[in-house]
Amino acid sequence: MLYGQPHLACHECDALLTRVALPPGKKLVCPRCNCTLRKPARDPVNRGMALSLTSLTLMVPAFSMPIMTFNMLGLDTVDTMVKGVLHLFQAGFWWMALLVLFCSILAPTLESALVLSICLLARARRYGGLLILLLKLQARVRRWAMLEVYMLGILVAYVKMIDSGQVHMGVGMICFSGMMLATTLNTMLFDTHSIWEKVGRYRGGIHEVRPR
Amino acid sequence: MKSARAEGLVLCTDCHLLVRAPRAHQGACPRCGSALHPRIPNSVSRTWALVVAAWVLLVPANLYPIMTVIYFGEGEPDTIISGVIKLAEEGMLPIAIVVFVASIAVPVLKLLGIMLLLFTVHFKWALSKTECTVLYRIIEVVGAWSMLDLFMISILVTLVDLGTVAQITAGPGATAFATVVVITMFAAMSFDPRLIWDLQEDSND
Repeated sequence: MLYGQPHLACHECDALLTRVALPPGKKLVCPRCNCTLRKPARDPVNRGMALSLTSLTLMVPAFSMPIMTFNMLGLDTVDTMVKGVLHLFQAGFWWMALLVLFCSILAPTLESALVLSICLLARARRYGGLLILLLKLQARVRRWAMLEVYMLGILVAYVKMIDSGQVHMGVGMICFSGMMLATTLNTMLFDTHSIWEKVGRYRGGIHEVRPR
Repeated sequence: MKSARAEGLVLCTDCHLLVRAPRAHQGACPRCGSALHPRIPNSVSRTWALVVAAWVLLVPANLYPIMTVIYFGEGEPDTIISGVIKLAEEGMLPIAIVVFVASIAVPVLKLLGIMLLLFTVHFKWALSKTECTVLYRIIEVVGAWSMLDLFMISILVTLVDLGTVAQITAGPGATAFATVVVITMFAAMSFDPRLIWDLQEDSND
């Protein structure tokens, strides 16, 4: 796959580089700072759609079904992701609740929904202002999705409670694991560059700045 | 190796289009419309401000309890450190290490790392550029893992809600710690790693 521009710059060290043809599966690495510059994926649009649909579907049970149940002295409690946030809200920890809500529920949902809509627009060849806006949003939201960290949080909580009573993993945990896998793979593999390259007519050569 | 800036070129931060910009801090990207900057504007001072704010907030985050476990009406407030010590004493050493790394080692080392990068840029220290870039990448990736404690609290608060028998509540330390995590993430984002490599060009010329 040959990307359009004859030159490119590394976004981490600003080295000016000449472009080379890049077959899918290979990645382009900055010779100066080792930063991965391009990593073209085979069929990024269809794969992005498949992974986003998978994660969006699994999100419904992952957020609402029990992650863990806890039994102590005959008393039962159930933990779901949504309940965890609501509990913090009710206890008055709204700032922490908002943060947990954003990083574990909103950001992953937004990210998957954004990738899905970007792919749909790219399939329809509508490389307009909406696609540009969505691509920018996706780049900003991506780093706030922390599902892997939440997964570790579940495991630590599980081990912590093991001695105090009976803890059981629920159905939500299985859905959460699948959803985390799909979302993380999607973030890692989604090739935004291949979509940016198709936006507008800006492919050949270096461009002059447009007055604002 | 020449930098794009030395050739009068600017890389758009959003769409990574290479644009010829006659003057710095001017104009919009012809492809996506974002403002063009050869480097993140005020990167060093903005990062310093966030680093200082994070250090200040680390104090209440560690002094106030982040979580209180109440058994039969008797509460035991835990700060981050006492929670780790308790875990280790109860024989859950691996978990204690995980929590220690995520809530103490990561935020502190992250802040020290950013400060090292800031000092390197400011005093033009002759450190290895490649190693500094690796440090920057570690700082960027590792930041999110500090949320571990907060996620764990949100799970435990719901899980252990047995009325008068046992209850776990969050504490004010958690609010401060949550803010530290957010601020350090913004600090890592506002630092421009290209500044490290600019030092090399300054000394070559």
